[in-house]
Amino acid sequence: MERTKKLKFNLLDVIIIIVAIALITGLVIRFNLADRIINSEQQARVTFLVSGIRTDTVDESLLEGDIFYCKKFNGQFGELIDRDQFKVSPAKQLLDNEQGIAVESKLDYRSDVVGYIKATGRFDDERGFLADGVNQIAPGGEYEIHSSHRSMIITVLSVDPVE
Amino acid sequence: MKQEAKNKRRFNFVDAVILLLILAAVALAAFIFVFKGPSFFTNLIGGQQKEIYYAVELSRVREELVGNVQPGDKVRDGVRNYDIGTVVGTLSGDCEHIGAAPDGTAVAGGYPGYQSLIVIISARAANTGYEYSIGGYDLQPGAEVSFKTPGLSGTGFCVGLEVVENDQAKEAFWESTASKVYYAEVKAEEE
Repeated sequence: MERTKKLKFNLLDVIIIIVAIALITGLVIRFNLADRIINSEQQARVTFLVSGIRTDTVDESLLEGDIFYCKKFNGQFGELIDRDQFKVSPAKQLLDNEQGIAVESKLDYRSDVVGYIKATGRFDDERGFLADGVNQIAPGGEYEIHSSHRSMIITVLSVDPVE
Repeated sequence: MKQEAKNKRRFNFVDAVILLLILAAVALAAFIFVFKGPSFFTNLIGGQQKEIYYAVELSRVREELVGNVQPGDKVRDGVRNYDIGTVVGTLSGDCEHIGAAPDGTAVAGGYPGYQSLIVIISARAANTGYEYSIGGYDLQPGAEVSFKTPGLSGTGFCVGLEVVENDQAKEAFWESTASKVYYAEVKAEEE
């Protein structure tokens, strides 16, 4: 008899449950958690540029399947893909000529590499692509990334959904 | 029996802790919901919200990325992730490069492959007395702006900010911003 009484809900319990439900619902709406969970597995093909990398280190630095991490995100940036489609060209540098006008020069021993990384996250209408559903990767952005054997600064040129 | 009923009604330490936790959680939720929204913060600092236009100049943007910012794009601050307005339009010109002639005089020219991009952004903001607050994000002309839209990310400077209460004021802001766009070739011809 006494045991049944002990299990009875009192007003305080009801208030606690209502407040807890309200809080959880609020957080889900505020941080769009449902959308994040449902759409967190979209993939993007990130086209990037590495400027002025030493030509003799290009092959060993960028290997198909390398996983790159981003210091800014403190997490994974993505996986290097389509290595055979990378465009490697002599590094461009803008230097002043004798009149003080900037002109394009090329450095033979350094290269500019345009390559591709497959990143996982979700596309958001207002914010573009969010790696891991949180960190925005947008064209024009510079990111310091590193794999198990190489660190570099990349400039993102485009972010396209993988069909 | 009476004593038992009395004991049941009495608040104990655990109840007090639970209540405190609930109050803290409610306060935190209110802070997150309201602080980041425009009304609470701006009311707190005593300002009344008005529509403002402000211009952010990204001085060196790769040519192929200049068209990536579109009217209607939402703009976010890249550091603290504040919503800082909506793109109204863009203006682009040459990227200004200052070189030195053989005699040491400064020479202004363009920077091949890059352009200067000015983005005009609309937002609701409150005047705090010395700057404007967009939902807690403080801004004034000259301030550095870490800029993020879906199509472009970069860092620029606020090169103009005005309250725009009517279409005339909006047009005037456009005109004054357009006058800040740098065109290397035109300048060279003028010289």
